[in-house]
Amino acid sequence: MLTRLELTWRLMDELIAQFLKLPSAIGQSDFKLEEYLQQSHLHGTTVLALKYQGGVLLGGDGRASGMDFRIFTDKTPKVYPVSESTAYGLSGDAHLGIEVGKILALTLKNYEKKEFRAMSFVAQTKMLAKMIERLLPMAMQGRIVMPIFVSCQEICTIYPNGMVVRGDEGYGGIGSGSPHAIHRIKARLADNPNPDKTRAIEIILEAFAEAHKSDAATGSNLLIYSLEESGIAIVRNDVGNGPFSMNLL
Amino acid sequence: MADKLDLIANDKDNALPVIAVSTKDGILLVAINFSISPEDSDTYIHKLSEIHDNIGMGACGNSSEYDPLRRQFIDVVDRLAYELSKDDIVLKSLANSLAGELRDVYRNPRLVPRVVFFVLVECQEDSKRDRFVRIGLDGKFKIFNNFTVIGGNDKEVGALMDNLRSVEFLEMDWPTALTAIKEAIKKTNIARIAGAKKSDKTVEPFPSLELAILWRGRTGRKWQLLPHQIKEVK
Repeated sequence: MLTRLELTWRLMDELIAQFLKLPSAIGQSDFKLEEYLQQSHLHGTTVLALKYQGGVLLGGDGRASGMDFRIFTDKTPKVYPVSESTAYGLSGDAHLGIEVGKILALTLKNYEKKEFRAMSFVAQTKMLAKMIERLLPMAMQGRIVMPIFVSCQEICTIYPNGMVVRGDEGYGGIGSGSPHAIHRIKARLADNPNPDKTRAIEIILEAFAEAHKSDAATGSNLLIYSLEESGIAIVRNDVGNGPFSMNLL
Repeated sequence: MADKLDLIANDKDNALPVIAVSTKDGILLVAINFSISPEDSDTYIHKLSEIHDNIGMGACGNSSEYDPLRRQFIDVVDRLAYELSKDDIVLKSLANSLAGELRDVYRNPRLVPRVVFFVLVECQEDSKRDRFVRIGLDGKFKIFNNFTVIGGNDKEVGALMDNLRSVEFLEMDWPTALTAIKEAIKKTNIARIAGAKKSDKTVEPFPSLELAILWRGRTGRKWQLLPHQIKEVK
């Protein structure tokens, strides 16, 4: 019989086993991980999170681009609600990222059904961090997944080695366009560190526009969610039901 | 076999009924639950549980025996939903596997049967397609269309079924249906059994009810655990 949460690890192991059959880049003498991770095409995306009075905005652009700078689609969702109060944004390998999101959503639902209560945000973040840590071999093969995980109060960025970085300054971003966007957010937050919702939406749209201008892998179609105590709502949706669209819940 | 059944006879008789009916709003599940106390009404042993988006479960018997089975069952369903899709969960085959588990133990000469009774309910958009599966401790299962009752005492279950059969639940909203169920429970006089079970004088005149509903109109997860009711009917 499966004990608690064992299902999650079993599914993750199976997911990893699929990919480990691929030829590995590790073992080649000239392979340097740091340089490899810096290649921006591996995580060509902009996903941003921004805190405001009473909630958090989480948004992502809709562009899926490939290694040779080819744009596959401009209408793919990169942010997904995984439970009633938390959402997940991904950068890096889209397929792997969505699978991780699905397993996370399944785990949270499984826990809720078994224990009659929702998993705490700390535990949810730990679960996700452990899952990403397990995917480190995959990251070394170039299949990086670097997610951002938010609730209505907190923003956490998770690195491929499983490190959790909390965005206590009130914002967070992942993907190749995020440095440009975060510069803009920082500048706008300097005079107003705790914006209200309307202002926060203005700031995040401006930041996305900046990222779109400066980064080839960031599109102009956006999908933005707002997370508040009362629940998750869509603020803006240009991607519609995109090609990878699925409800993870 | 007779010895084994004697061993569990007392436990079996104490398993209090769970009622599931199909109403206009959705499927209403009502469990008579003694573990809900007025002093500490948040921590109690759950008899009703969500299994899938449109599938719910009611259980009675020994909670230490049905809870592991419930957890295992949820894992199986989640695994299937991940590998196939959420719409490919078929209640009948799942019920079959759960019944098989119970039957194996029941027929094994070295093991004492588990004292567990399950009802699995599936909520559909069209109320005529709602399904209720009743699984006994011997692993036999039966499918119903509009309502069903599980419980340890066969006489009581029969009487409750008779009392509920004449009610037109499909035309009621859920509070009306709940009132009708309470009336039926009152008529069946389960309070007498409650008194017999707890011999001390502080026994409640009427057991507390645990309530849950599968909303028919909703997309995605239809399950909702309603606030339970304590000593509503006297």
